Amino acid sequence: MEQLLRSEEISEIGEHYDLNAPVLFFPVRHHSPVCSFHLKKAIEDYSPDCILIEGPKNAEALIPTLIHRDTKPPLALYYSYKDREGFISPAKEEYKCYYPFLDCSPELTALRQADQRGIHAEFIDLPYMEILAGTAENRGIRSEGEKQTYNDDYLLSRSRYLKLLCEKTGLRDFEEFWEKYFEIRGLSMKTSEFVRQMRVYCGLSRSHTPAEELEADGCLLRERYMAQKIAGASEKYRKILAVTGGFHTDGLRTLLEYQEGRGVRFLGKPVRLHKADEKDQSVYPMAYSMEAADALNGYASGMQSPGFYDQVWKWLEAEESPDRAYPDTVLHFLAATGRRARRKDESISVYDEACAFSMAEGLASLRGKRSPGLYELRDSALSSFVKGEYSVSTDGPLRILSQITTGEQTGTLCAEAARPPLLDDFERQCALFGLKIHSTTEQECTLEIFAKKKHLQMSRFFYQTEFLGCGFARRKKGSDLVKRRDRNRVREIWYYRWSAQVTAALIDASVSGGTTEEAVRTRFRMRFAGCGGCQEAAELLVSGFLMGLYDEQEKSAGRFARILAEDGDFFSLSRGFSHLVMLSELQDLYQVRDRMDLDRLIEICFQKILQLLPFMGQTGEEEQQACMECLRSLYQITEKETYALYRPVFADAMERMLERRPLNPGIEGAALGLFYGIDGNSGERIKTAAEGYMQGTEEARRGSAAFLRGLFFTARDYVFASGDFLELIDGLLGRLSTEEFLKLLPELRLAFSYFTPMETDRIAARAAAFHGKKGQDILRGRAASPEEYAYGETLDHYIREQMKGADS
Amino acid sequence: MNNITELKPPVEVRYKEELEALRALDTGRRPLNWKLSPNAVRTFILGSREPLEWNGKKIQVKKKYLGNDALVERCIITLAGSRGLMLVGEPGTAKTMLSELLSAAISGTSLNTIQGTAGTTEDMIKYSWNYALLLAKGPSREALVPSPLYTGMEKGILTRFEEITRTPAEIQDSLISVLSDKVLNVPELGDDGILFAKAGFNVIGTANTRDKGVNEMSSALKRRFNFETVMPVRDVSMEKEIILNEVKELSRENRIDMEPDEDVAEILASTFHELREGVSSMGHRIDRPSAVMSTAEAVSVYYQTMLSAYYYGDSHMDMGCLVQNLVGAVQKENSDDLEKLRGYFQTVVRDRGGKEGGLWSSYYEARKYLR
Repeated sequence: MEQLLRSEEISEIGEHYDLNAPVLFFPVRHHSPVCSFHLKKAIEDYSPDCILIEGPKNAEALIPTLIHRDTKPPLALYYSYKDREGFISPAKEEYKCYYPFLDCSPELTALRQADQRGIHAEFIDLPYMEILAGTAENRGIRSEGEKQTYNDDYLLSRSRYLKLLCEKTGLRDFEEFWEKYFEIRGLSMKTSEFVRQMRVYCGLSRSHTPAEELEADGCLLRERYMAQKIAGASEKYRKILAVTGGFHTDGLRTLLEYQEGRGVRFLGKPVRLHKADEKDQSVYPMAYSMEAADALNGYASGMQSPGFYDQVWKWLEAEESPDRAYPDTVLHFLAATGRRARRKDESISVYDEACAFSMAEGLASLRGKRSPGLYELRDSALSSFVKGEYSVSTDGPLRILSQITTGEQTGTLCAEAARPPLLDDFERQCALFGLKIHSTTEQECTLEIFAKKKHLQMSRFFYQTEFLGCGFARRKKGSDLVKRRDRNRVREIWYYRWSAQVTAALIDASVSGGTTEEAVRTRFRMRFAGCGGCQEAAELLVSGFLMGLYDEQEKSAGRFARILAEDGDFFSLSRGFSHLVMLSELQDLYQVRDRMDLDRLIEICFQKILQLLPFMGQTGEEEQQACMECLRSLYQITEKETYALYRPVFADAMERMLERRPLNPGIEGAALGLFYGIDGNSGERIKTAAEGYMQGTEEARRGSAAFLRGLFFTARDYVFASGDFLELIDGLLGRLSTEEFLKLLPELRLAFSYFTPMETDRIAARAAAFHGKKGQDILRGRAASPEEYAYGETLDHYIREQMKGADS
Repeated sequence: MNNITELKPPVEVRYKEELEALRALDTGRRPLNWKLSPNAVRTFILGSREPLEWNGKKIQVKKKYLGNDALVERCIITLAGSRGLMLVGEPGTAKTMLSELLSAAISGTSLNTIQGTAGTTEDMIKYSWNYALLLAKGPSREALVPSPLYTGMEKGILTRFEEITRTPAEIQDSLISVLSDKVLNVPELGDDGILFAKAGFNVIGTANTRDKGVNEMSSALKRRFNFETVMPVRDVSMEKEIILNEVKELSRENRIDMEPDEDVAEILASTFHELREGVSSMGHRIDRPSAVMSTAEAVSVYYQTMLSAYYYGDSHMDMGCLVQNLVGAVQKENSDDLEKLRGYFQTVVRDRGGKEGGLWSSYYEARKYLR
């Protein structure tokens, strides 16, 4: 530790706050109020004629939006890149990231100050696409599993010496260290001293990060580019203020050389940019939320509890002297927590607030801090506001505190902001339907789609946003037409929630159209054009129906007929058939004109199914269940009056299927069950087939469980209608050897799972009666002793071991 | 006095040297009547990084409370303020030890204590009389028998109230007026009967939340305290360290010349930790016993086993004896707990024995004592 803080090292790193130098480097941490505070002073002291800011170059055109009077943070720049050329990786993926700005962000302060003082300002970092290209896989801006942000403050908090530093100073983590030594103490320092200390800390942090890590994270490449830009600007401007992340300051310094009276000269190798297509890159400003900017919500580069630091910044902006900024902010949040808690009937008095404040000040003094900060605020609330043992029932005040220190604001953009028209349309529709999109809290909405026209329109809008994949709305209750579930429901309950990601997804979708409907139509057509089978196409048609795109059906009819003609998959056709039938019914229900001659398509589809059906008896075990489901669904459709004419031909096709050998016993059972539904007198046929399996040779006997499964799937009532069928099953079970029984057991279990609990009870009682017992007798057996249990476990273990051996 | 060693000397005696050194070298601001500044109190409890040089000696202040440093800091600041401090939590989480350390460091004594029981009465909390003197001289200060609370107010020192929730709620409430007005009225003494608390007075209460037979505290009394919830140690290695430290201290005091075995402490710490958390380090889900699996209980199991080894054995920890003592600790309230412990041995201990062998295997073999 001492070695790290050797004085010569410090003096070497921290000697530069020269107000006469052609370039003044100002190191910052993103969203740090103290950095903004001193940056303002530095601009005043240095009077630059150019301010260069670390920020991706391709967002430069958006600077006027960021500093517009009507634009209110939190905001973010949203960058996206489609790697069609494979510059980033052969996988040719899409990339996106956010660059958030709060009121207290030094970069925003720099831009605002430049605007007020008429100073030229520009971004100097590589365009987003180039940063991606210069970063190794799963490193830096390409880290997996993190919310991608442009900021790279994580570099300051992960170096090895920081751990030692926290240990030595008795602080819990980097955040507490930063707050104590920079945020709080920094306010009472002169700007030159603050810059020096930042340089010392950031320099040491950097010097203990291996060069390979810097390379892999893309730092070195970016620094070369930034240094190149600084050198370029120094040819034109006399005094340049370079505002960059503290971690980069030393890197930039080593790449630049002061030239007497002629600014600075770039010493590194110039960066060559890729020839990426402009169409693949986009950047938009967007409204952001404090919640999304909170480090505790996965935004690893931010500061935690941004609402707290934002309040500190408000104070600094409003008052002359910074001395009371932290104590007053702590008091502000204690009082606000108390007020809100009282509204929620928590018994927190003003005296409690006073005690908490005095606790915060006491803790600060005990911990050697000049003022209480976020940590003292949390500690004092825990001590003074939680009455009784700390638990979920008593931590209400702390939850309130956490919520308000995170902050609840969402930003707004000025009317002139470059926005994709899709976003405007989305907001217009939300306003039209009275949907709350200025809060990040989840909202609930019940729609009576058959009673109110507006509700039907809202439902369509929700389905459209769902189709665009923007994560705005999700249906909690209501009929699911695509999966064909809960079709009897007349109301829909939707949950919706605005978040920055919704905006991001809409920006992504904006290439498809200017309004929600337009974008949906474009994507619908694209997906329809790529459909490979009847099921997929029919499901898409159902989605289109839910979104109110009735006229799309007309345009899709020709393509659908082609898909139908090319599809030779029984399962896809059967499922598609069900969807088409449902669509036809829905058109009647919603009184929508049939624009694609559905009846004709249904007819074609059914004919194709009939052609394939006789061969389905040979379906393998893995598709047995799917085949049984298709048969049952076809049966159910032919039961309807509209399709009654299909019934005889369907039965005929099934008959032909049963005649072909070999025959899957499960499908045979299911088909015979359906025949039993068509003609109640065909029970004898079932019995004969079942007896055939049960009394057959060993191999055939094994098929009996599958047969029963198929049968019970389509006609479980047969068990109760037929007097002696259960006896037959009982006989079969009696004849089986233990080994055979164990082989059949999984299938038998499945077969009996189709019965309701009450039916299972009836079957069990009758089965017990065959052996002179009552249902109750078989419910309880002898309890296994611990020894037996242990023996069983040993045996299990032994078998597992043996089987492992067999595998290898 | 005499040569018989006290079973458990008070904190201020055990750490006399540390306290004296801290006091002599303390330059921080002290609240009125405090023996040490808040910073020095913190150092006394959480330890000093460098040894203190005092009286020609280097004195290393040991870390005495392992766990949450911020909690200790909050406790110190609470005591410097106008509210009492209430330490709540499961039994065996070192609440009492923390309250003793705080009292010894702040007031120089940890003995000014009220022990709360179901039979505690209001006069035990406020004051009572020496009836012989009362009859002979009438009500006078001389005839008054001060309670620890009275003494605390009179001298400006801390009063500890142990197990406050064992005391009936209406008796607990007699603290309310004292804590808010810092005045105790003794009507029998007339005009002289008003005792104003001196600076430095405050109350540290401890209350446990899991035992049977505890009373709820009134909201009015709760408002007069800052609550600190002391959580069980969540880290196995820290629990092991606590067991070893405590056992070393106990064996030193009782002159047991035997070094504790770190591996056994680790096994015990794992057992207690896993039974408390309901999940083993290998991922087994475990039925949690209803008995309190506190670190203090683990220390006691270890120490008992150590005593057996010292007096009856060859000064080596015997796993059979450890398991027998463990049964005593677990099977207290519910007979199902023994079954749960057996289940733990049949799964976790067996698998760890199979994987790691050594002591874990002997631990598993000692399962025959689970009865």
